[in-house]
Amino acid sequence: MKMNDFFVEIACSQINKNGQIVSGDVFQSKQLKDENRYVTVLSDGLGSGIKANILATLTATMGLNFTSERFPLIKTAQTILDTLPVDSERKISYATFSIVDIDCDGETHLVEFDNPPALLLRNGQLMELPREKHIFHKNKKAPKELYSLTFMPQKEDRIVIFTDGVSQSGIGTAIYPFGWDKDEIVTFCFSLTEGHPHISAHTFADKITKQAFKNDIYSAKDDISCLVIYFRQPRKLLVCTGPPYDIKNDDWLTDKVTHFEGQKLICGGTTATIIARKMNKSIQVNMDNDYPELPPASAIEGIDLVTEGVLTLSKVSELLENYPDKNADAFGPAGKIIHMLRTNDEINFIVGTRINEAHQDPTLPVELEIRRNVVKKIVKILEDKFLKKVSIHYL
Amino acid sequence: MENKIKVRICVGTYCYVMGGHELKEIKNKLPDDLRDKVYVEASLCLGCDNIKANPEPPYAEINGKLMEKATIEKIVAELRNLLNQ
Repeated sequence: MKMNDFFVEIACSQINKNGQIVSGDVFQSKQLKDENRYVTVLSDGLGSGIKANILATLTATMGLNFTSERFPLIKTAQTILDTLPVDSERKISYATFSIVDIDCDGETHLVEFDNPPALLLRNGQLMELPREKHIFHKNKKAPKELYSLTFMPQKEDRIVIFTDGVSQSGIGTAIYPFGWDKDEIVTFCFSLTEGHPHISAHTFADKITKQAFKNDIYSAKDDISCLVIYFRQPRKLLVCTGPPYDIKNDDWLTDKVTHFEGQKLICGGTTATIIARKMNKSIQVNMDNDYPELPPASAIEGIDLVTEGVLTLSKVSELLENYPDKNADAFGPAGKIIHMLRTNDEINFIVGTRINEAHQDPTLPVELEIRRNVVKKIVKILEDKFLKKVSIHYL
Repeated sequence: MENKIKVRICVGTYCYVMGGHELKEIKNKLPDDLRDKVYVEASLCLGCDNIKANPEPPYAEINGKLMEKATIEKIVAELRNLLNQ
């Protein structure tokens, strides 16, 4: 299996220990674009609050960088533990970690040090793969154990990694007197995928931390973190904006839209009119839009979303630039576009280049930018900030 | 609905920027006595750019008749005119 065949969705959800303003668990992830590789670390620092956060940040950063450089496993662990500062109360230095390294051919390496074992979920079953045990000595003191595991993921596999804030949630309560044990977490995981087999990594992780929080009777006893890695079919989105320069290409455009496998978005009234006419469908314009600054969205059967063009795209570009400062949902059609862009992995733009004569009126506000420039801006943000795979086709 | 007067408001980019966003509110701003007699809908473009070289947005369409530089007041006046005939 090649990495290009699937999309790796990585998401982490965290809830701080009651009363703490930062988490003592730290998640870091990096995509090595040149090598087509993903490295991800989740670390739990000793204690909680700022002190734990520093330990975990150090650990996660070193884990991430050493692994990226393909530093030997044991040496990485040893260096991390030797570097961590000693806790003034407990007189030890300590942080746990789990590292996942997904290589270009898909081969996935998992390293675990004192975190609860990761769950590998495939086809509604828990994969029990043998882990290799490594013993090492920190400062020639008591031996420590490190586990590693290598496997080839398949499409729809999930790796679920969590800190002890999850596995020990609810400890001492009547329901989970000994904490949330592995079997129960696994059952919970399958209850999430039941009926929703394609649940996103983000939602999956969120549901687990929320359940752990609930187990703790809504007052977290420890920092709760859950990291989910989901290998899946890339989700594709087609964005059509602008009428084709040559009217002969109207048919080609409509054909592309009809036969595209994935979500479809049309930005532009004229473009929508052309496509609807060629598809023999009617357009329903929504009068009651919730965000009057932008023209309302409309609906064409078979198209997921139809909006106005340049004004809406300019708003999208502005919102993406400041993401996540503002709650995008409050911006009507632009918010809907942002949601679509966020939830898809591969985004294909088809940009028509015919000039709208009506927009050449000098009395129009200057914000009415040239479509191509706005699209270019959006594409750059999607690539750099959101790590999306984007293509543009001018027509 | 058949007996109602049909008002279409252009919400294309050009018209929207040039005042169409206010026109769109007409649904809520119609005088009470007209409310039951009028059916309002939005349109992506009423074809203004094909009408003449210098279009005068925003456009509205009342029973198939185009109105340029439309305002709520102008539309209401036209509606009353039609109802009195």
